[in-house]
Amino acid sequence: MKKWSILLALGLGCGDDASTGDVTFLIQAEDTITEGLAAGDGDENITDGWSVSFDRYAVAIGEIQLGFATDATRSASADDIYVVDLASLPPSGLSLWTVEGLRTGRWEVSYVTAHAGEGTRHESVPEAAFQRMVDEECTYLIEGTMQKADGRSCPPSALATPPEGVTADEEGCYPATSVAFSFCVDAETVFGPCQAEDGPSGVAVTEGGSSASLTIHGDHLFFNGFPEGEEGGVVRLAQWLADADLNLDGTVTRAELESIEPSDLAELDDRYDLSSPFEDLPLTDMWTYVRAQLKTQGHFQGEGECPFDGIEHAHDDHDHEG
Amino acid sequence: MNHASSTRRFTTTLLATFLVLGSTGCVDTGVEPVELPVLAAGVSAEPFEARDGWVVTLERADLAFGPLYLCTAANAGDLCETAQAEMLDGVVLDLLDPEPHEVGRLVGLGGVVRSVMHDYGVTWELTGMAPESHVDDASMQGRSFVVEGVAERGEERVRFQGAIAVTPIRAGSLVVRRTLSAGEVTDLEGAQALTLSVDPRAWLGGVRFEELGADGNIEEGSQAWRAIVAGMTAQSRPGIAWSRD
Amino acid sequence: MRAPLCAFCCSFALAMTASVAYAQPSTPPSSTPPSAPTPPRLLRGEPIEVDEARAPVAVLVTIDERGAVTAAELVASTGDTTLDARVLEVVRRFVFAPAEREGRPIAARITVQVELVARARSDAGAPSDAGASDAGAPSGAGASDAGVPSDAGAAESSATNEREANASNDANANASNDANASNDPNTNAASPNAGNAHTAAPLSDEPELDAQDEGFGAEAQVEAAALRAHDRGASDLTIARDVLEAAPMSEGADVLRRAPGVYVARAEGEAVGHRIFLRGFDAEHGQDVELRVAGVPLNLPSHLHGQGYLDLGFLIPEVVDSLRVIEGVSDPRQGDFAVAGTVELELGVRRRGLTSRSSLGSFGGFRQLVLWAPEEQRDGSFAAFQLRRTDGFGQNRNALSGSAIVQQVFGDGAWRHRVFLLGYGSRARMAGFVRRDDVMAGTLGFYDAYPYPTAQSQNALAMRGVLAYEATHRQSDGGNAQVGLWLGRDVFRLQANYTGFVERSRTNPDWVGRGDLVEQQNRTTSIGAHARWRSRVYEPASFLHATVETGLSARFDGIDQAQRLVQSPQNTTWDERVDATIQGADVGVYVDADLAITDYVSLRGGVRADVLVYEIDDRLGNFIPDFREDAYLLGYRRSAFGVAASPRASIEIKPTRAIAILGAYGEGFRSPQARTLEDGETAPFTKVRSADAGVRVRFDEAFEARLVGYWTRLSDDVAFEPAEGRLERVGATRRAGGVLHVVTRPFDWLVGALSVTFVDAELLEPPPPSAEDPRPAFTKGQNLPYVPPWVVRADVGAQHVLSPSIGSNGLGRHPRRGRVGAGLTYLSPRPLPYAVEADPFTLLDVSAGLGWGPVELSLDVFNLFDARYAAVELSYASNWDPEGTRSRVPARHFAAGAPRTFFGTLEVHF
Repeated sequence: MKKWSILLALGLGCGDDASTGDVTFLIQAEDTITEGLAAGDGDENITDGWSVSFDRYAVAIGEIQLGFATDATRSASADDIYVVDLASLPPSGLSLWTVEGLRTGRWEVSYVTAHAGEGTRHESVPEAAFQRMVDEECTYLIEGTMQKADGRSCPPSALATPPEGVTADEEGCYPATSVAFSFCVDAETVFGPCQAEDGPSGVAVTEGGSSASLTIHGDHLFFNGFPEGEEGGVVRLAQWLADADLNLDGTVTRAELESIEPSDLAELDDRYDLSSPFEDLPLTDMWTYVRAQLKTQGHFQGEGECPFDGIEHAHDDHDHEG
Repeated sequence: MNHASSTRRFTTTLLATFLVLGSTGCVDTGVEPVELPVLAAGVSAEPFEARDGWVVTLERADLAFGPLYLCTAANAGDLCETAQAEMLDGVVLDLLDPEPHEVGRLVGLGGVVRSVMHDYGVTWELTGMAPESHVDDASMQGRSFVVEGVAERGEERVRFQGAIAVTPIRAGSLVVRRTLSAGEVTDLEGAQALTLSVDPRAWLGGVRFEELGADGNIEEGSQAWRAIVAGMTAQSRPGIAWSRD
Repeated sequence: MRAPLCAFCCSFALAMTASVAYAQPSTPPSSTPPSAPTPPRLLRGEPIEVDEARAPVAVLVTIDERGAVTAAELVASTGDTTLDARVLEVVRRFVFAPAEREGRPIAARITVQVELVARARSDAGAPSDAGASDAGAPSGAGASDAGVPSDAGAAESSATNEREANASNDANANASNDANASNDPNTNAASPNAGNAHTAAPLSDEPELDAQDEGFGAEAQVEAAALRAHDRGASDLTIARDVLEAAPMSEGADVLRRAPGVYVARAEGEAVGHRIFLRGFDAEHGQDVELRVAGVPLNLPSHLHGQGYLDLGFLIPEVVDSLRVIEGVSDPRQGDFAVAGTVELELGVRRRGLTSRSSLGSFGGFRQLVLWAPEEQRDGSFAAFQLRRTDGFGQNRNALSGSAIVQQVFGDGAWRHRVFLLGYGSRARMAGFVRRDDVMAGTLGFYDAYPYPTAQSQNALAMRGVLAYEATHRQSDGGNAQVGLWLGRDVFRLQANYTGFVERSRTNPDWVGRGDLVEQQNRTTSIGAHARWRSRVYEPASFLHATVETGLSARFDGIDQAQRLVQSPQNTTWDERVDATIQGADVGVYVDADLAITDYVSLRGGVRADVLVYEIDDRLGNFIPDFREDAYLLGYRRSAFGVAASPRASIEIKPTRAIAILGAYGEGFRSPQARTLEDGETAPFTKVRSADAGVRVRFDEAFEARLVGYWTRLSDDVAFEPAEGRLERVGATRRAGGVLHVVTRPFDWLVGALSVTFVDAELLEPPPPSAEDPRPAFTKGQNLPYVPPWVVRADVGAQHVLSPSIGSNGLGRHPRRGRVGAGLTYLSPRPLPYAVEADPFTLLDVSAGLGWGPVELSLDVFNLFDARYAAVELSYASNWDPEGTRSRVPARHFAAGAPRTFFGTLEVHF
């Protein structure tokens, strides 16, 4: 059939304008989610000695918008939103969306992380966890543990509420070799237009079908600021999160983070760049900091960049394909 | 000879046709260059309430500002290698003057701006070995924000002063990179002036004055220092307003 | 002025009879061709004076469709080899009004009887022959008559109809070249029309002249490559050699400026390809202009510095015999990169012998040309070597280059062969682009380079070698076939800094501020072939004549390319951006039909299909940032495939002999830069749709004018991205405009050409925003950047005998010749990205020469008024002040054009 279509195209002289193809989108988790982050001195490590592992990294993601690169009147979409646990994804990712009958060529891609209530639970997410996300209007449900053999938690003295009988050392710190966290975070974001690392923008739709992956990074919580573009110069630090365990019960909670202002954490010193890109999300407390960081984690094709809360495709008078 | 004369007539006619056509031609380059004043407005020196019941009266609040870049990208920073408009000069703003006054010129091109980035007078160029002051004003001591005032809480009275530097953490980056809010997004074409609204009260509002030393100095690394830096970079950044036709 | 003119016209006598052979073996000999051709007529020549009058000498002359002599051969020697050579040299400079069939110029061959007059007669006859000066007038009236003595010897001719040339077996060729020819040239000599060229048109005797030989003479084979109609719409034109030579040329690429709407500039330096503008297209380094030399396609696909990269530095202007330009797409032979159009250069040297040209000029300029065109060989056979060096104007522009071109044309009977060899090497330092605001502020001189090592180190190197072979065969049924094979190797290396100090190393993001000296390296090895077969003439009806051509072209390219950031002066690499190997194949097939419907309408066209296949080994693909743990191995290998099918058609309506209404429509394509393709991606050809319509008025050779309107649309376009020094994709574009082109030869010693091109070039769709390029520099509806809406070009050339011979020995026996020429180029303001315009400029080049026998002295002045102009101007963000605050707003940058430049040349011809 394809041969005949080529011959027909040759015969009619109509070139490749009319051909169509399908595109499949996968959700992929960065290795930092499935493998965790190791302590070490390398640029890819957490440099203050903590290691991090994630037990659950559920995200509500989808609503993929496509716009033909050289014809703004053409658009398509895959509107489904799925709630997927990235921590349990296979390395090959998970195919969740297919858009059929797209004109071959390059299409711009954008997608959203949404409230879980707008999405469908994937089997990787337990019902209870999904329900929590729905109830708390979350985008992410992140549960994990930080570990450091000689770890300490150094909560702001003005805010610390250690258990009775537990005293701080002379630096105001408490032993903490393991700190758990469980965050259900509202981080609705539009990502796009997406661009593969050092490659052209969007996805190339071919007659034989093509695919692309939406990639969620897992380490932005531990960045020393807000990455943009290539994220070059990023340093990973986790001590601030250990210091947020105000009651020293071994688990950092939303309430604790909400009660801490950035200036309360001595850890957030001049190694940090707190300039959040989100003007409507001033970093008045560390919970907001977490929300802001998670709103930067959407990527494309691995390391490809997607501006966050980016430029949504506006196609007023358009042909909707697929 | 007939051919020669007809040749001349023909050539003349065609040339005239083209010249007429040419006189009507014009070039549309897409966007127009813009240059507009940058105004700055601070706040009045009235006392204000900070955290934990402290009432603060500012006596000096000078801010080094610049360079300033406005970008079309949704996110500034590395995505703003090419800016839509800029004010390269480093200027000093008296934040206790609530009246808008011109502090510089914004030059660039017409078009929508969606994000902004700037330094507070201390920049780290790609070609620089370390951050350097960008402002030619000795009173700023090479820092970003020079503040003096009094904080009072009941009987407690703290005279404080500080010269805070907000420095980029790596060469080539700027200390404030933010997306413009819906009300700040604009098309520079037709804009008449840019007004920066800077409120130092919000920066001081998070300071635990009780933790300042007896000399009232805001030391680098202190909570007060961090609170002011966080306020300047992440909580209460200079607002942008546009005057239009 | 008239006296020398008269002497000029009287000094030779010529008689010719044109008898056109219409050999159509497929049809009965008695079949009558659609219409009778008219023979060539002499328009311009040079005197041949001898000490004592001698018997006329017969010369077999091949005249192309432009009226130029492409070959000359003595029918019989004068017995004096020196005189033989002189006669041939003079005859090769003759200019004719070409033979015509159905009002269309065709190639032809005639035998001319050249009378050798005594020098005394030449002097004495000047005033009395005043009336003969009209012989050279555009009307052409009496051109031949004037010079034809009453007892002019028998003349003979045969014309080679382009459309039917494959069937036109040339009787005269037999006379000179084919001993087995069945036609007796004496038959022609006995023509009743002998002695009167005007009435010598083949009338009743024409059928008798239908040659039956199976060979086609060697000269006819010269035209075999073009055995088809050239007229493919209103924008298909051939620039005659006299127009090419009218104004001075500083280098070979200047020949392109003679074509309407073309501007070429050496913006980046001697060893970097020209930037070419053609009729509304900023073709960058060749992305939109297909260029073929001697049948070899020279655009380099997927070149790192620009798609379809072309460097014409190898070209030696003295060996360019003809320039055909198809603006737009209308010929099925047009292949990849024929978006704005196609340029075909045929090489040949008409002035046979050994020539040395030594030039010295401003800025330490030196050029040495050695050109050897053996007398006994055809015009297509020559060897040329050129050496050029310069210290360069301003700073940092010294360059050295060497170029050798050898072409040998040989073959007998039905076969003709061509071997073409090209070798070229060049290295140049570059001043690069500078910010206009720095120049305006006095920080930098107009012709300066920035003082930093990263700017001073800018340089380029280019090497190219091409070896090609082509064989053409005339088949017994009148068809013809051609096959060619070529090999090419190109090496390109560039170190250029466009942006100053704004780059950050991707390999190590902490490496910054070291200067954005981009090093590009591209090595291409190519092998290609082409073949085509053209049928005999079919005549399905009395009013319809048709030929069909099928053709194939194929090329395979192996490309290695790398791009790095280099820190100067130590040349340490501080970032890697590209490291890739590309294998590419392009196989194209086409069918082309040529229909003549009555004498008034011709339809030509067909369809072309190209299959492109790529395999890409992108060794830096899937780049792993420094701060990411390695989860895979670096590299991204992929392959892609695509098909482009393109119909093309043209129509010609000739209500009268002088007027033709022409129209054409065609679709073409530009292949993608392979590295931009994803795995399995259908190669996103830039599709161009091109249409033009116009009228051509032609009064013999004396005057030709075209007025053409055109329209093109590209599915997606590209624009130069200075930060990476390469082209990036933008949206769809549309161009519409008009071209006026006039060529006039009001006197036999004067030629003038004028072209005015207007274009309205518009971006139809803005490029999509992207993360890396979040703010496209272009907006919907804006004029395309870099494209000048108006381009004007004027060429004027005059040459004349200044004084007759003044003696019989030494130089005194030679007449003194003089020539002057001028070329004017005007570019209107061009829109640049980001709201700015480039300034308009006007350049005037002039030339004057004085020749005396084998020696000629000439002076060329380029940019006579010393206009300060930007050869190319760009707009982008840069930082050339490492001590200051970085500006991120786009600024105007330019590469300075050359100031006034003098060149003195001594030419000696042996």
